[in-house]
Amino acid sequence: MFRLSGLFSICLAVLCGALLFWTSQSVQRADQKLSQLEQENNSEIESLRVLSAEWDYLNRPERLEKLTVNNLDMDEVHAEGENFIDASEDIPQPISPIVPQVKPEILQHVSTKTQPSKPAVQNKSTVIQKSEREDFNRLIESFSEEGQQ
Amino acid sequence: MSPFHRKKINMLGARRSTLEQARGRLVILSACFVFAYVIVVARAADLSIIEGALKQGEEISYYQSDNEEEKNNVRADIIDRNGVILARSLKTSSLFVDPKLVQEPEKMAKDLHGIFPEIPYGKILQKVQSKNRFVWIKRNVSPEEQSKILYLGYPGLNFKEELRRIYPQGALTSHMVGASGIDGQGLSGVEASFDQYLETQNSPLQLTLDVRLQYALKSEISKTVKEFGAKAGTGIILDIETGEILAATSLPDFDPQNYKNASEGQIFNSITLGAYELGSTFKIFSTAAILEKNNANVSQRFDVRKPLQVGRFKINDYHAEKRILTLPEVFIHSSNIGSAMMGQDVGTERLQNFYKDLGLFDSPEFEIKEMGKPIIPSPWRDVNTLTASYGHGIAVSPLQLVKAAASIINGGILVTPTLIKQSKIPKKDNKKTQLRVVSPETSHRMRQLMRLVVTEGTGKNADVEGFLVGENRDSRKTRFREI
Repeated sequence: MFRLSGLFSICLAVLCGALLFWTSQSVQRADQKLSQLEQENNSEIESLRVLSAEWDYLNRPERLEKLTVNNLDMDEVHAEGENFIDASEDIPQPISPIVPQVKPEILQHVSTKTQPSKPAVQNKSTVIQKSEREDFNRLIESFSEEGQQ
Repeated sequence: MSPFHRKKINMLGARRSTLEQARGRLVILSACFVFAYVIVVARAADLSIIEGALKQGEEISYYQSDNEEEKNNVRADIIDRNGVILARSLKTSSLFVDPKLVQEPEKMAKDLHGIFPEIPYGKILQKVQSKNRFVWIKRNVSPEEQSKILYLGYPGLNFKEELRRIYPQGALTSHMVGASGIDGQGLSGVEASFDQYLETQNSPLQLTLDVRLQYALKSEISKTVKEFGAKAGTGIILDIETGEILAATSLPDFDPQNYKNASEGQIFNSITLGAYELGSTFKIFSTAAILEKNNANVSQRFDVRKPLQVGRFKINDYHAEKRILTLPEVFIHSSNIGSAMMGQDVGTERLQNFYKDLGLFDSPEFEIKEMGKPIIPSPWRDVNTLTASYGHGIAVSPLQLVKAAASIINGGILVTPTLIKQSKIPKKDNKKTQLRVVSPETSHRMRQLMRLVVTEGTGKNADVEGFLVGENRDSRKTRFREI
């Protein structure tokens, strides 16, 4: 004769078995779907890699220049042409003049770990000053005068 | 009576004790099973409820670790300073045959020759009839060719997925980026010197090159090579503050996609391997030496009216001024006699030390393995001091020249040319202090003198409005220019 607890145990075991089977099937299905999605994802990633490489191939400077010349009414900018840059004073000076006070006799070791190298004197103005140009002209004149002597 | 009614049986004596012992064992066994089940349930609840709730919103899953391992198999990209792809490995299919499974070798070879006309019929037939179980027919076939082969449906023909290195910029950066072999191993340039990094890392290797500048530089060098009918041409654009190489071209160059068919001349990287007598460009160094070592004044004069006779050697000027020149005039008019006199004034030992400090006597530290050695006169005689002052009798690579010139112009700090963006590869010598080779005053004076070459000297064509262009040129058949 069965006891009530025995029947309950059998039902529980059957239920657990069914639940386990259902879980197992769900995991398998999910696993299949995941691997399919992964495959699609990898394929998309590979396609993107190919496309970005192709994009850079199509945007080669050489090709862009040819396309511009053939399809656009644009012409090359010539440095020696007239009105290339009207206001040269607007362009920042690339190198600031450095006028140190003392000239070192020997090679100096300069640590750049904490501080980057800085010019000895930082020019306050970032544009080419007229006075600098005049200084330059004076320097040139002095050279030619000295040469003639 | 209910079927589930428990029948009470009373036993006595030895039977009773045996039954109680068996019941006790059953209880212990059941308790073990219940305990194990509780653990399983608790772990299941932990995984599905607790960890699930904690990881909600996170994109990380244990599947990604597999992907990362897979990613490591792909050789890392090489990109320029703006992220433009210079080299990338893409998946392609390679065709191989298992000859044991081939039934009609002649017919198969004929059909394959139709798809790959570049491979001779006889060679395909030879492969198809081989005794091995694995023979490559063609590596890296195109998707179109692959579809044709699949349509043929021959047994024994199979595809293996492989990686092929693609260089979208072609020959533009060939000497710097280099090339790799069919199995992905680096053969030259950065591909060879960073082979290990590219094989193991996922993040791309970023170079300091800018493909736009590279193209502009290559176009100009190509034009000049054509104009002069030169055998080769080299150009470098270097950031004098950081040492980053923005563009570097060596002509003739090669297609990295077709490295095995490139000639020796094409493969030769003249930027690092070449050793040339760079002529008047060395006047930058001899002039800087006299300013730095002798504390010379710009009004110092040099009599260049007559050629300089040293033993059996005679030093002449290409553009003879035949008058007494000041120091700046020697530089502006590129006087060999004047420069030789400067070298004489500086002295052999001090000039040698100065050149050594500039790195002209040693191969520079650089990220590319193909590195030549400078040719230094040995033994160094007094006449070598004179000729080395105007760049004769001493041969260095263009990279050494640019490095030395940049070190003088940038304020006097020795520059280390680099091709790799610093943020990407931590440099071993980050703690190393930088070396001052000339004083800021000398450096400033040299910039003034180079500017004078453009405004007053032989480089007037380089005077682009809006920019302060400085130049020093060699006025022989070859021409070198630093801007």
